[in-house]
Amino acid sequence: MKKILIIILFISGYLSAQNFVIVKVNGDVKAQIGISEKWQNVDNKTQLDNNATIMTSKNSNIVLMLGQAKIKINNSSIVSLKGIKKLTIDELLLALAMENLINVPDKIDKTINSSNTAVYGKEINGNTKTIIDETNFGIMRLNGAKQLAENGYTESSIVEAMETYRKYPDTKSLTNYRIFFADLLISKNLYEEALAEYNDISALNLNDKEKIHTEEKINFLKKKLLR
Amino acid sequence: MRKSVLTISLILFLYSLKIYSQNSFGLNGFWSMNKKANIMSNSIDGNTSNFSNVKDWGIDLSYGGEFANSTTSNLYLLSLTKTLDRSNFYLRYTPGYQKDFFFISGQSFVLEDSSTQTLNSKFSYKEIFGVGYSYQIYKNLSIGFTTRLFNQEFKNEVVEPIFSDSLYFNLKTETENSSFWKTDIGINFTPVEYLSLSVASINLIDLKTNKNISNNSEYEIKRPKGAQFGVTISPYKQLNLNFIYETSNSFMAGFNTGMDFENASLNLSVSALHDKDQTPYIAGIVPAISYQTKVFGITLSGVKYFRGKNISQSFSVFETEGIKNILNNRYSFDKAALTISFRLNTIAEEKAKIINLKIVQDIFPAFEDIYLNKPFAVGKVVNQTDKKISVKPSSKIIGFNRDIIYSPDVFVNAHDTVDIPFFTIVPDSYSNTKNTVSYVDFYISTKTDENDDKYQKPILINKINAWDGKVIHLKEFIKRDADYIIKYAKEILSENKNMLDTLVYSLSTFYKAKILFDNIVKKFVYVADPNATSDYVQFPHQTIELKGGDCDDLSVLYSAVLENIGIQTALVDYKPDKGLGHVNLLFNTELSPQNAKWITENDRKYFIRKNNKGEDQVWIAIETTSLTDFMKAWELGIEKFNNEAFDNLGLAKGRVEIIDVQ
Repeated sequence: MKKILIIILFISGYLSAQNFVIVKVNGDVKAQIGISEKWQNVDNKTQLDNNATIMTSKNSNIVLMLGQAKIKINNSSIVSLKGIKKLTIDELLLALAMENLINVPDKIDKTINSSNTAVYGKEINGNTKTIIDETNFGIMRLNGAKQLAENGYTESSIVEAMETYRKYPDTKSLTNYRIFFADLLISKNLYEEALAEYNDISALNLNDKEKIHTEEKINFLKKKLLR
Repeated sequence: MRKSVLTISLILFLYSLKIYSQNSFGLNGFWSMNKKANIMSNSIDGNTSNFSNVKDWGIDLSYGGEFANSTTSNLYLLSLTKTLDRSNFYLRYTPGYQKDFFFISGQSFVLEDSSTQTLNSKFSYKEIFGVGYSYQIYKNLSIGFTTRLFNQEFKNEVVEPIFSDSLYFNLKTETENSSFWKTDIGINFTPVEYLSLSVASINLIDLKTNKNISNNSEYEIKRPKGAQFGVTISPYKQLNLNFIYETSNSFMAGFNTGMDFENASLNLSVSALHDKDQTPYIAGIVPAISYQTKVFGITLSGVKYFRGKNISQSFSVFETEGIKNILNNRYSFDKAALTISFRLNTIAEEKAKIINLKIVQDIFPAFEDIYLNKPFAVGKVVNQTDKKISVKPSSKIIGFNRDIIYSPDVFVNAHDTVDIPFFTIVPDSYSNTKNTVSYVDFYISTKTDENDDKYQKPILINKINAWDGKVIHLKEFIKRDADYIIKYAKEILSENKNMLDTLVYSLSTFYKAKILFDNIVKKFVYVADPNATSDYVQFPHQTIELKGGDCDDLSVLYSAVLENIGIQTALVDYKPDKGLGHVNLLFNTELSPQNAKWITENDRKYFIRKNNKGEDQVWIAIETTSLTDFMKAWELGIEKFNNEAFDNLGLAKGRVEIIDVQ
């Protein structure tokens, strides 16, 4: 029988939590704890563990310590502290593979509601009030992912970027970010994954410099994969 | 490789042997003991163990002639064979198995008219009839015996003086008769398809029925005791190399080959024999060609001796060595025989046979659809014919199926063995609340009206609410009670119509799920299974009626409710390292990622799944056992899902599995 006591959920979560020490907070820095809906201000006394997500606004930053490691999160970024962890290449590959595992299997095509149910509500008219600026939020996530890479957490950075593309699809058109993370894949010798990413990028609106860079990388990756 | 070694060994063995008279000589040559054995079934000469492949009745008639100074023709034999289950009975009448010798004694006397009268002798050797019996212990092992009645008649002309008024001589014939039964036993064994072995006695039991021979005993058929060993190797499908060896250092060797047609076969056999009493070294050959259909066969065979036509011998040779075999001896002439065979099959031929059968899953009556796609049993079935056949499997679970359930036909190549799946159908009315043990009758048929084979096996039929512990099979419980659940869900949603009407349409799925959770699951109680090893899952209507259940029951109910109003759900199987696992539920809010912000400001509270149209949609996880409100159940569900599926890479490592209900 598949059963587990709910309390175990909390105990296991507590035991695996890593505590971060806030070294310095500059400007407007907020944190969202766990799956809370609220953002709370962060100061030097705030207790943060890896369930927290940090958001820095313009002209603000925060410096954290995790054990001996010092992590600086610059302005206009969102970082889930869970992402501040070292992954092996194998773990990175598994994380990337999950993108396909999570999808609905092909045989299922059930985007239409059952016809035997009453329809409630009205169709959306496009003037709905949004709670957050989705694109901006996505960009801040990508900024956070970049800073993970800059702090030495390259594998986690790639995973965060891919997750951001899925949750904030508009960010997929941000060519400079796409190229940055595609190059991270190359730096980890993940040529097949990098080529797939660059093939995607080549279909976007690129400036001349990006176009040349993308073509060069595609040729480079094709040669690498031919060997 | 093994076949080649055996073949080469056989050839070397043949080459190294001294070849002597073949006691097990057969008029139709020596045929292998494989499927062509029908051809040899009219003979027990080289088939002491009475090995037979005749399915039911067999009648054989051999007619032929011996090419002596004047050709004589004869009905050699008429035989009848019958197979009953594993037993085979054989009877033959052999009027043509006869050899006569005429001798001139060298003594003569002068008659009254001055003519000379020579005294003669005539010895006749006959086999009268023979019977055989064999029993098939296993498919590849049989044992049997044959017994044959022989008669010997010795007629000698003698002159008898008669004393009366005058002495005169009377010419009279003195006759002595002798009969004896010769009985032998044998075994046939086929360890592998390409190798057959046999061993049999020679003259094991020699029972005389008439012992009143006084003057001619030295002329009786010589019957030394011994044994014979046979081997057949098939290096290729259509080639059999045969060898039979006797302990008296005799042997016969040859080959069979043939071609199969649609309903017939044409076969050729050549056997060579050597007799120490005959010259040249290879005494003769026995070629035979045979055309066989299922019910009829015709075989033309012959014996060609290489010694030439002059076979005269001095009487002293005959006196000292005699003969050991009526048909094959140093005084035999070339022969030809035509054998006509009939095979009458009054019983259904078992083309296919179930060798073994395995129940691969016990019956869980709740899993209606499972047994339509996954077999509950697999049978190992052999095609016993030399043609491709279509096998129709069927089964009936006693006390469960009302009718015989037919599974899809399976084609089986000639002499091939395949695994055949058996499917079943769970009757709608089945509602037994106790586990029961029943029996399944399995059938296979190659015809429309008769079964080729039948097999019975016990099976466990679980109670109606039984579950095998596999989360994927919870889907079968979710699919139940659709009408009841739709009505139940609609009533709840109708009560909240005013609230739902104020929402934008894109949010209605999310809020319908929320309302249903808060009005159903939230009001129920969590009841742990009294026995964790007892896998019992409530159908949705039972959970509603009982107002409670464990995590399986609540997940099944909530999924059933959502699915029945068109909300796509998936079960999450958290597989335990050891001990107990857990199940919770995902559902599709049908929101696009851009609209996820309408339901949460925390992007860790949802995840994106791409549907098969390539569209990204927002899914959330629900912990049905929380029994709090929807928002809390969402928080608990997504925390566990994020932690185990994503953060710990459970999805990629297979420790977490998403099972879509539809």
